[in-house]
Amino acid sequence: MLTSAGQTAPLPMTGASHNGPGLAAQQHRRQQQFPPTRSLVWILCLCLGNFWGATELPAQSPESRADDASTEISATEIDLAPPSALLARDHPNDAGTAIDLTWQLSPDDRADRKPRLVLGYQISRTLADGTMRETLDRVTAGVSEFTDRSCEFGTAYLYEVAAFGPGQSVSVTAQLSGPVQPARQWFNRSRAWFGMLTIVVCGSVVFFTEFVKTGRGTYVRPIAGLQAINEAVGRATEMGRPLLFVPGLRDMNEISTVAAINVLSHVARTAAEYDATIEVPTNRSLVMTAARETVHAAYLSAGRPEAFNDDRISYITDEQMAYVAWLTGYMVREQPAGCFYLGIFFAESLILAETGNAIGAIQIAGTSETAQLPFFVAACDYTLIGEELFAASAYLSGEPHQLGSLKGQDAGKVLAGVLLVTGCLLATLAGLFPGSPGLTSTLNYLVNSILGRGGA
Amino acid sequence: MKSTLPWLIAAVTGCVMIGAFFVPPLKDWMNEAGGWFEILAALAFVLGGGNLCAQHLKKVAARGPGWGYSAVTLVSFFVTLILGLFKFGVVADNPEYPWSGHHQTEGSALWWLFTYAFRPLISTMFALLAFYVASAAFR
Repeated sequence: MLTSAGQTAPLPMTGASHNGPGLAAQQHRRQQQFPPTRSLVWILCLCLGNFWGATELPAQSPESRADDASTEISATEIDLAPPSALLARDHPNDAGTAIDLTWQLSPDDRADRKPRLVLGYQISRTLADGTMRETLDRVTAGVSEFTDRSCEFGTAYLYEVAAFGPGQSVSVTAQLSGPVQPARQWFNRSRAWFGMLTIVVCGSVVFFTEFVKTGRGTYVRPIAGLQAINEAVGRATEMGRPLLFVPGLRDMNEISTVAAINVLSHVARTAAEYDATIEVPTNRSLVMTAARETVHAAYLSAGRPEAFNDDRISYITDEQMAYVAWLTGYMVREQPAGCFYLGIFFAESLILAETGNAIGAIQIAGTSETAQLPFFVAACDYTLIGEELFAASAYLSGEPHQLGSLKGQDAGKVLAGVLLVTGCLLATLAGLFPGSPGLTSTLNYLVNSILGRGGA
Repeated sequence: MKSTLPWLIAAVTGCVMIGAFFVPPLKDWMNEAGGWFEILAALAFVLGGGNLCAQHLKKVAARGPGWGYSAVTLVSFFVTLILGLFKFGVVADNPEYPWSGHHQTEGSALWWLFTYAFRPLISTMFALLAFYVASAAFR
């Protein structure tokens, strides 16, 4: 929303340029460049040259050529043309803390001019009464826009833009005719489509949750890795060895870690029922706290709270390879019968899986890191691929709200697929019929408004 | 109450996060919530360090198997912590503020420890990956 905008008027050369030299200073500089004594020596040399019959002027030394070059630049310091048509607009879709500035480039801002006269633009602002002057930033030559994101809501500002060149040369400033004040928007309209899609997906989650509660639509295809949990726990019980559960390398703000903790709940409950020991080393202290609560709750629900030992859910270190060193050492020493690697993994995936393979443990892995999946597939007995990790919790618990959430997410995927196919079709048709403005504009709307900036 | 309050805090924070994505004036609240997450994470670090010390102290006190390794872990932990906290060998950026200067400035004790002890150890562990890749490829 435009709150105020102004256009500049060229200002007098001497008064308005706050950083540039005045006329007196310019004359003084020119006198320094061509002092009277130096001119006399120059004339004397010419006369002597004619006297000796010379027909060419004496060659200039490199120093004198450099002097001339600097003279050329210095001569332009006072002649920088200012930028013009400075406009200020409220930055859209924000909380009233930003203003967009645009201006027309200085006529001297030409890329073909070597050396360049204009090196960039300096943006300054004051409060509406002219006080609190501050330089905000400098942008390079050829740039004619700037967003001031340091505004305070409810405060009016006056802006100035000046071109600057080599040395200290600065043009006169382009100024706003009046103060401008940022405005606050209560809804980010560029995210309207994103909001609608969110409502559709969340609505489908609620709908499917209620649908599942009625006893319908509860089928989830079998996931081999999750069916093998009982097998792994039973084996550990028979062998009298512990189970190892590794919840990945990331903190609780990662959805994969949350999914891993959900699976841990089921594994811990099964272990409690089978009287097996489960070890959960973590590399984030918040994960340790969450895992302790989860395992404790699982032991309680299994009716064996006395078997819970919080020392077995411990924090090791935040460092990736130090954590791996601890894990591999533990695996070789304690020989766990079953190893679970669920969460986010990186380079350590193969080290862990190969060590587990070497000690003959049943291994179940699952990660959303696609780059690590091949390593787990190569070395583990079962692997939850991609979204199977997120479906695991609903699959294992069978609770209506989790199953409803799973099916609601499926609805979201169908919606994403429909948009994807529609976009591909539109792009193909727009390529086949380039003269059709309707197709092009529809495609642009889909890309820029529905899919594009809305999620940015 | 013990479980309701955390649920309530989590729900309100989640709603603020979602709301701030669509309602610009709520961004300040979102930043506030982010700040609280940082505070919690910092407290959790103390929790993690405390857990680490408790685990290894127990093992050392009980003279359990491998207690010597636990002793080495504890000594390393405290040496690193003290060197980093008290900025041994760090030259102050501003003489008026003797504690200024980054704790990992080149030449500082923590930098030395990182460069000549920690990094080689980590590199060695990472280098083992080559052998595991070979064994997995062979199978």
